[in-house]
Amino acid sequence: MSPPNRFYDEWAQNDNPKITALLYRIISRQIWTNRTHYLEATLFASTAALFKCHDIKTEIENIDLARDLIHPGRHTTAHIAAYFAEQLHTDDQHD
Amino acid sequence: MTNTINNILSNNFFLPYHEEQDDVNHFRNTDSKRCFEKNLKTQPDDWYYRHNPVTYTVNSKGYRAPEFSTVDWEAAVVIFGCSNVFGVGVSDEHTISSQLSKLINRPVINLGVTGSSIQYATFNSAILTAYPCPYAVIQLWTSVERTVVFTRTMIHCLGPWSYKPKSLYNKWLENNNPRATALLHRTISQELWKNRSQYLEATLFLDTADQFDHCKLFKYYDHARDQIHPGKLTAARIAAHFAEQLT
Repeated sequence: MSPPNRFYDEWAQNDNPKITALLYRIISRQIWTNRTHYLEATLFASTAALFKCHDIKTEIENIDLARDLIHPGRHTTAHIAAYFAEQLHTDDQHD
Repeated sequence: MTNTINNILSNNFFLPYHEEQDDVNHFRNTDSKRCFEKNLKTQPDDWYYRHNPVTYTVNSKGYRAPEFSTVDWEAAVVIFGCSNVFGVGVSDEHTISSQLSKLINRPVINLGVTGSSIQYATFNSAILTAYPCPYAVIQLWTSVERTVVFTRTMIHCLGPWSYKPKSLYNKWLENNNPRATALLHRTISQELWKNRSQYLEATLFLDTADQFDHCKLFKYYDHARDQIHPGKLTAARIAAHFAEQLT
């Protein structure tokens, strides 16, 4: 779906998306600090590079696709679920 | 390496704030020398600012606050907002933060940024959570109709002064976007401080009071030297209200 009146094109200029993303990441982390388990990962290489956070795709040998042939498929989502389960288990052991 | 905003955020520094103006220690933003000279011609003989200069003292990061490394954050009240909090047109001792500090005998850290938005204040509020938890946090919310965009090294505060057909600001204003954005950022700010610190909110903007439930709207009792921003008496009334609210 194309955005109305090229707002996105202008918003995306310079480093605005990156700085905005970094600020919202700070907000997200700070909202949950000392309140609950908090995990982060991404399926987007650009986000992984910016946030220096875990790009789950690098762990998955055979990435499959959903019915739309765009989004992650059932094997990929199972792998992501296993990754978070393992992280939560590790967190619990440290509590 | 240039001091990019990315680097600043990595170090938990507040968003950089610098204004370029002639004689910046005595004139800022709408409180310009030209504006003062114009007001001298129209204001009464006993106009306070006719014989009393305005002094702006800022720290190395551009904030009207002590150097951040010297602040006792746990004892401090931190106040966020726009030029009304910064204190455009009033001298250092007449800002809301200075007057509140005297009333409660605590440091009050002025994180007001001229032209800033509700988003901007929320971003700085999130950065503050990386510091020792302050005694209290105050959001004196600015107008709903402002936003912020970033470049690698610069921050651009957008508001009605940015109004221009087909501009990014005009597109941002369309539909319900400003209202929805403001409401979301208010929620974020409230959640950031819930069960962490005393948290107070108010505004001097009618549009914001209209959109935010249970947000006190302050009225103007006087004007600053620029005849636009709240004056020292208004700041005193606001400070007294916050002092009463803080336990």
